[in-house]
Amino acid sequence: MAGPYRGRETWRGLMDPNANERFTRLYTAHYLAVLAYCARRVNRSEAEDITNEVFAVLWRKMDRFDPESPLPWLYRVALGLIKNRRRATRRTVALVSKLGAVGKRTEDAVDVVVVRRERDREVVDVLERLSAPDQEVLRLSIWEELPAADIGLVLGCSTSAAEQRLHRAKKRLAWKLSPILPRSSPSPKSLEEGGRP
Amino acid sequence: MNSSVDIAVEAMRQSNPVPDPASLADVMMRPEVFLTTTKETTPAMSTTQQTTHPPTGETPHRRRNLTALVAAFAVVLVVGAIVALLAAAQTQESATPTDVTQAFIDARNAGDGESASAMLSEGAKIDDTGANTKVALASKTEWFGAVGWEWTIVDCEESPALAGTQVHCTYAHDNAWSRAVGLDQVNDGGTFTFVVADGTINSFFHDWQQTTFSPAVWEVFIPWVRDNHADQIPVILSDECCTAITTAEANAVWQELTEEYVAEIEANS
Repeated sequence: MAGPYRGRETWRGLMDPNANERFTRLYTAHYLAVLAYCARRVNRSEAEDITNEVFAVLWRKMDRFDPESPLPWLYRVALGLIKNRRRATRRTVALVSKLGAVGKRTEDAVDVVVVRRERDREVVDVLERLSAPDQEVLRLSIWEELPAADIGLVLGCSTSAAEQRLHRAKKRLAWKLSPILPRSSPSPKSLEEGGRP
Repeated sequence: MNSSVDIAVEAMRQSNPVPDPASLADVMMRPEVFLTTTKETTPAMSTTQQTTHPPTGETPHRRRNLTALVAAFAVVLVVGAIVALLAAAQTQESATPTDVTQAFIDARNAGDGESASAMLSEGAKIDDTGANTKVALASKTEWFGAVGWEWTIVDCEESPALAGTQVHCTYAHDNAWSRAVGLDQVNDGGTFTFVVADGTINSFFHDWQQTTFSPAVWEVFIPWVRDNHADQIPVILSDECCTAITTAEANAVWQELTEEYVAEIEANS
């Protein structure tokens, strides 16, 4: 399981007039979390590149950087960089396809390497068939273990909107996974009432 | 016992490809090394904020290797940044009208009325199953989300229009009610027609065909509500049969009823 979430409480304790020291503390506190965030979405090599870009962005903005929660801010930067790369990859694949070759998604490699069990592979496959917004809100909640308020900060929406998106995405995930997962137990109420509508 | 949602969430939790971020620690540079490379490539900070390299206790030979590594990393960082900037700029220029409409459909599938509405220009012409304004479209989108509606675009065709580009799309669709009874997505002739200019949707027309889908789901779900929650009918319908109320309060009831309906079918199938 992921380590305890430590996003919200860290920034205030890190306030320091020295930018280097502040950066160092943020880097030390959050580098691995950001790297893990990236590695859950792209292959390992890209994850390392993007994470370094994220902290380069952080350094450039240190003089005016003062969010309540640094980790959601860092995730938001990472998400933007990942989207840019995916767009670039799609264009490359499209170009290669036009030239008659077959492109392979860069994201595939990471899953092959790190997914440990066949069912995990199937679950990730199903996850990747959901819409991009559904995937992201589910990953932020289940893999990054962010609360709804911080999911909202990453996605640029309100807490209630994040909660609603998450609720619906979970329902859609359950639908998509239902063929490969054990069925849920019926509720007592359903058993009492019986019959199809 | 666990619901299907709980089981799915747990399955996804177990499939986390990086369950422990500490397992990645081997690639983490020391912050002072990172800062050194970053400052060399991004001299935007004031000089008073930059420090000299801290004493590392390393030998001159190791320091030369480190310098070479740092230089190589700096080159990679600069090239990467340039490529990313070019890619971002190119993307903004190359987002096609069909890309714009797909983003709209993605927001719609997510039940995100705010985002879907924001993609339409002020004063956009809208006709979406009774919704004719941006506000109405937003609440209708939230309603679609509440009952789990999803559209999968089958094909889109672009053509010139007076005020931009027309994008005409055919789709297949389903919702929580249809999935509950085991129906696949249906392609019943419904279409979306957009006019897009400068990345903004200036008109959206939804040609809604109900010949296949409605009898299969709506006319099963609504009687189920009448049988089981008759008191909620005035909360969710503005007439006897056919017009959904899509306020936030009503949408919450739609969602609750849909969840119960689906759970009941799931339990008895």
